[in-house]
Amino acid sequence: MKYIYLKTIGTMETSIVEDLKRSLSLLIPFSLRCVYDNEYPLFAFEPERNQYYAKKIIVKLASEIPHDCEKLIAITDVDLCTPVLTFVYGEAQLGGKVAIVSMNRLEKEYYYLPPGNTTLLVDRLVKECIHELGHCYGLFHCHDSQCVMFFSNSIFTIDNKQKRFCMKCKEFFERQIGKEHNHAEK
Amino acid sequence: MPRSRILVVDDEEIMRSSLSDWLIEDGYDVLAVEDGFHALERVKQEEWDLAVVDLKMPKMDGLEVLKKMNKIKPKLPVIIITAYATIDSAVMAIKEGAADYIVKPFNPEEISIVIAKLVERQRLIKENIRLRRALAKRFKFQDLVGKSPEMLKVIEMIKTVAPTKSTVLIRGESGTGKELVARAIHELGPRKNFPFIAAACGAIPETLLEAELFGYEKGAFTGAVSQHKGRIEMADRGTLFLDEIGDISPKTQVDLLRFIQEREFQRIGGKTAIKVDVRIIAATHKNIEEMIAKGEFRDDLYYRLNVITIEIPSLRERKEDIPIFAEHFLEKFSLDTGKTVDNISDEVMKILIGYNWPGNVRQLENAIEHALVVSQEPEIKVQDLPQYLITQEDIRDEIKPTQSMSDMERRHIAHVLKAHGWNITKTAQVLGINRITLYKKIKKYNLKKDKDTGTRP
Ligand SMILES: [Zn+2]
Ligand SMILES: [Zn+2]
Repeated sequence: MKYIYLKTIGTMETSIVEDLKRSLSLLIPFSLRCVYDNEYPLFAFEPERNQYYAKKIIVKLASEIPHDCEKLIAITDVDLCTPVLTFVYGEAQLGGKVAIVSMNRLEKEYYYLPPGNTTLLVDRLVKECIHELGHCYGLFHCHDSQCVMFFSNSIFTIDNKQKRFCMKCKEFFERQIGKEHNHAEK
Repeated sequence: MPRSRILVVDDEEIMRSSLSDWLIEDGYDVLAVEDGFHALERVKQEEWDLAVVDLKMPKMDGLEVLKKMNKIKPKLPVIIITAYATIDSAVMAIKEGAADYIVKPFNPEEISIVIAKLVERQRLIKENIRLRRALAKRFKFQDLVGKSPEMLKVIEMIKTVAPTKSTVLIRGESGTGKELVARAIHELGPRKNFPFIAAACGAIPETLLEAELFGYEKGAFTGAVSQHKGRIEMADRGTLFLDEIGDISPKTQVDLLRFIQEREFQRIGGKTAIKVDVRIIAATHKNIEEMIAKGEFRDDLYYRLNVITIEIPSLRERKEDIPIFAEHFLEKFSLDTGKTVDNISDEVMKILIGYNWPGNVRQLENAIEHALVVSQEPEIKVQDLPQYLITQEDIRDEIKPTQSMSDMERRHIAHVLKAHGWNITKTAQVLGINRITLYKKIKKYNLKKDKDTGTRP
């Protein structure tokens, strides 16, 4: 039995992670497992930009992946970036094992909502987790703005899209899972 | 839909991988190379939809790569990226023909829009070229090119008369392709496996024309050292095409008339009548009715020839066919010369459509051949055209800041009138005004039609 790992990095509220886990388990055909790590990934810190390089964190996580892990999604509160993009909500290894999602900007643009209500934040996290997971199974961005694989370049595009794949992406996603598992059995 | 292809040029490995990772996730086919030399090689060898080039690189910098890429593939959009925003380098990049300029790290929103926009534009351009090509192929009938109603009428006529034995008279200005029409009639008819013999009556000196047409016996005249078959005899069971029939002498007119009536003739110096079965197609650019009135052409011969008339419109009467012809000749000469010129710039096309082509299709053919020989690039540009097209007035006039509104209006109306051969209805339609208003403006600006260079009735 393999699990999708949800691994926290930095400071993440347990209740939010638990909500996220519950929501995700209803949407993806895998069991989930949470791992908590409160350390900050200082090795990936870029002082000039006051941000963290997503790729560096991914590379490190990929080197220490548990043996019963199907895919690993890291959740963090630090602000992520790449050498070419000013920020990213998340990043994944295309067709690989590891992805990372940051709630930094998902939360920042959330402050005007009633305190204590984390539904919207969890919704946004769910969408970005499924999106990055899609990349881990080899999916590209989708042109359907309602599809979870639509590229999110702003909080509006995230809020606008659904928590699921469009028909085309869903088919591709399921086929990819089948493929990877067949491959593993052989 | 095939994925759009993006070429990334950056000397830093981390930038290359980071940018291509993101572009690949976004659904593009990406290749990243580390310098301009590799990039230019790839641009020469493969088709790309977009190039993203870093400004600051050792050896060859981004601006130079941009310039060289523009030379090789003028339609390939290039985005210049740089680490710091400096107005100077942005202005330089745009001046050198960059499609856009972005500062890294990019704002995700901005970069995705910029790239999607350029790729979409490129896709449309390619689609356009493909459609134009397909159109040129579709509207080719036995080497006759065109989709205008005028040309379709000609093609219909050809199809109608081809199976018959009727004599046909083809009329049209020089260079409209009268021989092509004659050949098409021959090719589509029951005689297609027999000879098609053309006689350019206007080009052969009068004294020789008779011998050329009817042939001669040995000793018929000085120099007739052996028997010689004429074109009429050679065309037996096939088609005889008499081009420029208006140029033949009264004497030959009589001989020809007798032959057409009796379907037999004698070689010069011969005694026996030779019977042949030929279909006659004649052609002229002259106003034969006028010649008859002046006594220069026999009316009885004219009636014999003019059983069926096919009028070929001049090129300026069917401007919509110009792009199809241009593509057709471009392809033809590209094959001939082995050059890979595969596009005609929009500006050139505008000039071609605007010109009034007194020499018709043949002149257009020569112009394209000229451009192809001169062209150093995969696209025909204005400077490749023959001089007479480049210096055409109005068309390439730039709008000057000192021009008044009425001056601009005058020039614009004059230009549109010219482009549509002074067809008032069409011009008014294009200008979006009614015909009365157009007439008023023509009067107001004292616009006059150029002397028509054609010689049609
Ligand atoms: Zn994505
Ligand atoms: Zn989709």
